[in-house]
Amino acid sequence: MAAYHADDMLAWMLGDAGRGAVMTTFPMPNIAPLIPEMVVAAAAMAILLWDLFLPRERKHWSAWAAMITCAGALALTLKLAAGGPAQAFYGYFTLDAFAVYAKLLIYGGTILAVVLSMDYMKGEPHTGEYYSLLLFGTLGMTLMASAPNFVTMYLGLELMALCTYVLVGYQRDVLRSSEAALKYFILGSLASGVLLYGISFVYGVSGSFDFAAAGQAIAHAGPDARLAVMLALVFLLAGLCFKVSVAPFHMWTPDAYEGAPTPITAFMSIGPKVAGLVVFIRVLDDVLPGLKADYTTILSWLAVLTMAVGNLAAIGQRNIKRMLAYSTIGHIGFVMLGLIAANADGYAGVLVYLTVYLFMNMGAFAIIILMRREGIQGELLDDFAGLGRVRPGYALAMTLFLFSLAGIPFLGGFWAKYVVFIAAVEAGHLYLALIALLFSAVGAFYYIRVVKYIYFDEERVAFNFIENPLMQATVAVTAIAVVALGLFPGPMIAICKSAIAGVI
Amino acid sequence: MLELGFFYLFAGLAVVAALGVITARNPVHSVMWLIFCFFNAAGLFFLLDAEFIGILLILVYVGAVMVLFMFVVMMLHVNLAALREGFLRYLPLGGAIAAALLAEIVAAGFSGVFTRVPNPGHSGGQVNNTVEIGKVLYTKYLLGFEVAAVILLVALVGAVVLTIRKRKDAKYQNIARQVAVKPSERLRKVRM
Amino acid sequence: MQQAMLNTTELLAIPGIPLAASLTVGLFGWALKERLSHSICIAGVVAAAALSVHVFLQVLDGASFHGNFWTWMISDSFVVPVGMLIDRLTAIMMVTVTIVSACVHVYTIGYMHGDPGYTRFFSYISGFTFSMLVLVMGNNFFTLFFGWEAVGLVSYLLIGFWFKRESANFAAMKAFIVNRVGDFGFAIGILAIWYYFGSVEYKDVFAAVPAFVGQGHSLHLLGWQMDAITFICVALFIGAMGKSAQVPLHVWLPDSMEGPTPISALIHAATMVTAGIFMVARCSPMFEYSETALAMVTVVGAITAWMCATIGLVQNDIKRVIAYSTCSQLGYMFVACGVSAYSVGIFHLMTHAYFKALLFLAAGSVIHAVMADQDIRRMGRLRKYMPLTYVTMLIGSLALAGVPPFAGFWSKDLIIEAAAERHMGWASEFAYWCVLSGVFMTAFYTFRMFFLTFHNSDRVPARTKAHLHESPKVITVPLMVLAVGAMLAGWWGAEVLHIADPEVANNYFKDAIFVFDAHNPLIAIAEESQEHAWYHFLFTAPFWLAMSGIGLAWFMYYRETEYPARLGAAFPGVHRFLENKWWFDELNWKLFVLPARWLGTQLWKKADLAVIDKGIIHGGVIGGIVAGMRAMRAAQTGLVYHYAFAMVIGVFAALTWLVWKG
Repeated sequence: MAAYHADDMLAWMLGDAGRGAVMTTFPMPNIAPLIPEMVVAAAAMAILLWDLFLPRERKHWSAWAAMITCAGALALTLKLAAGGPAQAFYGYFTLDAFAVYAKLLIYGGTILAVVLSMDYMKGEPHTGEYYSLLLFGTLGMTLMASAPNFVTMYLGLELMALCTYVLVGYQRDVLRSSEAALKYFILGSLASGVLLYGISFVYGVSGSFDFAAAGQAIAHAGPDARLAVMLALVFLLAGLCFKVSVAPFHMWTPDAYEGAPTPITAFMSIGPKVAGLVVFIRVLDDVLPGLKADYTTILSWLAVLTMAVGNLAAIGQRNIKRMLAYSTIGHIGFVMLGLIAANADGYAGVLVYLTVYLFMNMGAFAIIILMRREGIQGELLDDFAGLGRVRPGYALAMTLFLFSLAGIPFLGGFWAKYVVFIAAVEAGHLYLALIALLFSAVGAFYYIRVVKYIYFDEERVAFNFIENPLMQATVAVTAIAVVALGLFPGPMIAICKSAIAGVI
Repeated sequence: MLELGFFYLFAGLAVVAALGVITARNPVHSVMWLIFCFFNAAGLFFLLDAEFIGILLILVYVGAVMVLFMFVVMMLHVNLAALREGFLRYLPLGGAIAAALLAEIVAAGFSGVFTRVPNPGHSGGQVNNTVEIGKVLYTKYLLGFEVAAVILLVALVGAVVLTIRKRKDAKYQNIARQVAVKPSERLRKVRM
Repeated sequence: MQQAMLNTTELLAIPGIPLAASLTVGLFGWALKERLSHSICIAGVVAAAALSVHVFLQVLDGASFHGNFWTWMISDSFVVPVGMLIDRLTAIMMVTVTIVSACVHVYTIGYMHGDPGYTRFFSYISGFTFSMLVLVMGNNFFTLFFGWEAVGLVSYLLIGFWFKRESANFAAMKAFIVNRVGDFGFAIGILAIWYYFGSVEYKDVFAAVPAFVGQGHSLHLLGWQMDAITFICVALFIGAMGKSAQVPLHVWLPDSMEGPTPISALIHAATMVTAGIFMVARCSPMFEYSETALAMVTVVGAITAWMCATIGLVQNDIKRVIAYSTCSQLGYMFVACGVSAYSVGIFHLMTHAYFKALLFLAAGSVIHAVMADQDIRRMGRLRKYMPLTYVTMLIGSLALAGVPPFAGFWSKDLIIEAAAERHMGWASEFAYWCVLSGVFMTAFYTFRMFFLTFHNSDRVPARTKAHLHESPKVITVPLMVLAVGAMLAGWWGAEVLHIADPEVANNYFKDAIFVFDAHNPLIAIAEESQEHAWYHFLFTAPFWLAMSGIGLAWFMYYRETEYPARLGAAFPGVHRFLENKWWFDELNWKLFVLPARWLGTQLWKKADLAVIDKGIIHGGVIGGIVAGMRAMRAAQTGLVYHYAFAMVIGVFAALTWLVWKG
């Protein structure tokens, strides 16, 4: 330590050429592929400040700003994608077709979540921060989607997670909201720790944070590294499974979904799942290719457990948000079939599934929010009673969403299931596909039960809908999308396949 | 040899301190244990010639974060008895699983791939930690660095959002109105 | 043989018109009001019926159709076409479905008059007609599956139509869950077909079957080797068991009587429940290659035919008597298919559709008159109040009992003969005795119901008495139309269409149904009947059994009306056993539900999530699902440290497994 004298320090600070060893030039990294993310980050901060100067009745302008930001970022991403795959920041950011498609879904999910929020947030405090956090969360997800190594992946994941923790607990006056946020936070921290532990073991074995390089090193590691590699595998899987709600790491989901403001529930059910699954696919395919036999077995068991938990527990729910939380878990169980297939078809199936899920789930949440009325959150199944007679349009749309979620043929949800099931069968997991089929049969029951409420039961409380043309348009668009994807699934499947083609 | 001795000293104390964190009855004691744990971790960093990170750990974690923790813990009245409830009930199963898991983790830690790695040795004291970290931080890890900054901003915003709120059942002063008040608003002349 | 093609537009219009009517009324029923709504739906279904008859006549002249309208390209290896296959099998189904449906539509005007869900009801039954037509007209397993699911859905919606009744909701739920069991098998069957054949089009699959069987594919299932073709057929048949209410998946059908009577007639008697028979007949080129599957079809059909007939003997609810008789008759049809007399199975399906719809609608007319009371113990001497209903119901009952020359005689007699002539070991032997003794019981319970309703002593409560009247024209006219069908359909099928003729060229079905000559029982029947005169039926066992059944019913419920009470008192055990439906529900409850609950609560506390698997595997379907659901809810304690612990266990289990595996 004695090497540094005061004048040395001074010379160093002044940039004395004699101590040139410490002088460093900072080369400008290639930042072009990151422009959309930068736009989002800048807009999020701008909204934070801008909102302070908006009068109370114009707070919804922040929502419009958030929406425009996402649309702009989406357009920029697509424009950049036209130039082919690109790397940025010394290989810490990658923009390939896979990432672009995932971002398409993520931005789409955020735009829809903002639309759903506009009425919901009317009169709530901190609207600027709300939309700002939504954008920051989106930023985290897009970073995850573009992460070629553990550093970017983990930071993106934490950014996303932190935003969702805060957003879940947004309604401070609602007890269950705070409770859900706290639970989610504690368990999320635990999962983060588990994930980091796994990453540290990967680093220990391979000496690299880069997915591909680490994968190479792990594949060539000798038998004496076996135990360390297995630990890394399990801890990585556990950390990622938490994010995408795979049982038994799913326990936070129902509580968080129920406690969160409904638009946030909708937001959480799409974007984080897309980002998490993209990371999942990249980790499985790049880091762990040598352990395929091990991870497919573990994931198969987890998938069966997840499908069981999701589909069985959903039957007993009276709260539709909670039911949809379990339904998400169940769907993730089906999506995992695509991961287990562990080939291009399976991964493409995951993207197809998520695409369809975006529309049907967002549509269902839009209707739940539209049902919010004086003293009633529109959250209990009973609240849907008699909808068929009062608002046949909403009832029809909700029925379409529910049927699609149940996987009834001629609707989008059918193809989502179909593609992953077939991928699993072709990869030799026939038994898993049969179990999935069984659980999808069980699952259809609780979706159709809601349809029963809608059409068969008498109206119990007077309906008093929010008349918001934007939301109604959202419902219409998502409903049409669900039907259109059901009738013409070909193009979507082709796009997903080409998106995955660059990765594998 | 001396270095090895210090390593085991710091590492051992860190483990003891960590155990202290989770077994202490009093949350204030837990925080103190945690501070102690961080000191030991800092010692380990010093042994690795990573003075900058070691100092940072002490300054940031011990100096700032833990003090904040202490405030929070002292402000909240945590029920000591309730914390211990059910401990014994969960001990057999939880303990067994924890022990088995620990054994697996330790075994993984001792697996050949780590023991075979040659000791990198000391760099001779001529490397400026701060400079080297700065160099990689602003080049190779620039993206991560920026994202970390955004994460900190989000944490800040989040904390504000969750804590600042108007309670509906509380009364507030409106300073501006109080200052701008006119005598006529407060005083009513009554003709007797 | 000329290969005239049918008109595509006409074919598309047949399911299209009811669909359009259903959607119009469903979406705008509130604006259209009752009159316009039912006019639209009836016009739609009558048009579909007229077109179907037109198509049928063309098909009789040798026309046919096979084509895809639209292709769904899904993945490189898989193509899902949407197309139609119109052959003789399809045509007869189309005619039956649309005509019965048209009658039921008209009948509904009178029956559902004044119900708050009037327009909704019309929308559903038109939607049902569309779904059923898709089911029968499709040219691949995929459209079959779509129609299969769609009719199931409508059925579920209609059983729960009177949602205010708790029992209706429960029945709807039960129907849904039991059908899911069947559908699960069905989906596996279709998946297996695609897996092995790489196509779902009937044409391709059936063409590939002989070569496929030649290659001798087999698969191992839980240590049990099975031919692939047998596996496929058995899986498909499990689907048929659910849809067509075969033991042990029959429990939903009697409960489905909670739905409005027109639905019982249309869906739960004439059309939907027969989808299973249609499917087996359609897949005859596959079933023919699997003796095991055929034996299973025969035995399950025989058990159902016999067991449901015994239960029907003691039911007191007029609709339940007919419902059990439906189960039983469906069993007869499966026996026919199982002994390779597919054409006879379809023949009975057709005749049954007419007389069973007639019986249901007539029963509905009675129920309507006695103010929605369905208990035959509170009826009697209704003949003088409702003569038209009386006559039509008599025709229906005679047809069901198999009295010549009514419709049921022709087809049922053939089934029994076929079971006698086909030699496939103990299965056909067993089936023969089941269906033969079933004839007696069928005749008995049918006429027991008939006499108790229209003759016997007058037990109608005074309050209802004033209300008794003949039903309006919209109810009686469909009854008369169906009565004509119940009288003539048998003769028409046997003598005009030559359904029983073993010569492919002469038989109505020609090449729509495939049978090995070695299997075909019709050949032996035809040889024998060469020697017999037309009055040969007078010397056969079924005829005399039917007659004695009617006679016994006449004796017990017409002449000596106090006799049954004495009989019941003499053999209390037997009577109670039958009255409680063989304790089937209780058995289910005791055997599956209770242990499942016990398991659930016990294991949950001790072994955490282990219960999920156990609950499903050991708990029966419903019990398992309920137990699993409870377990899941119990797992969600709301305590963070439980959640965290679950995560740790997950990590631990995965890691330990890996370490242990090495």
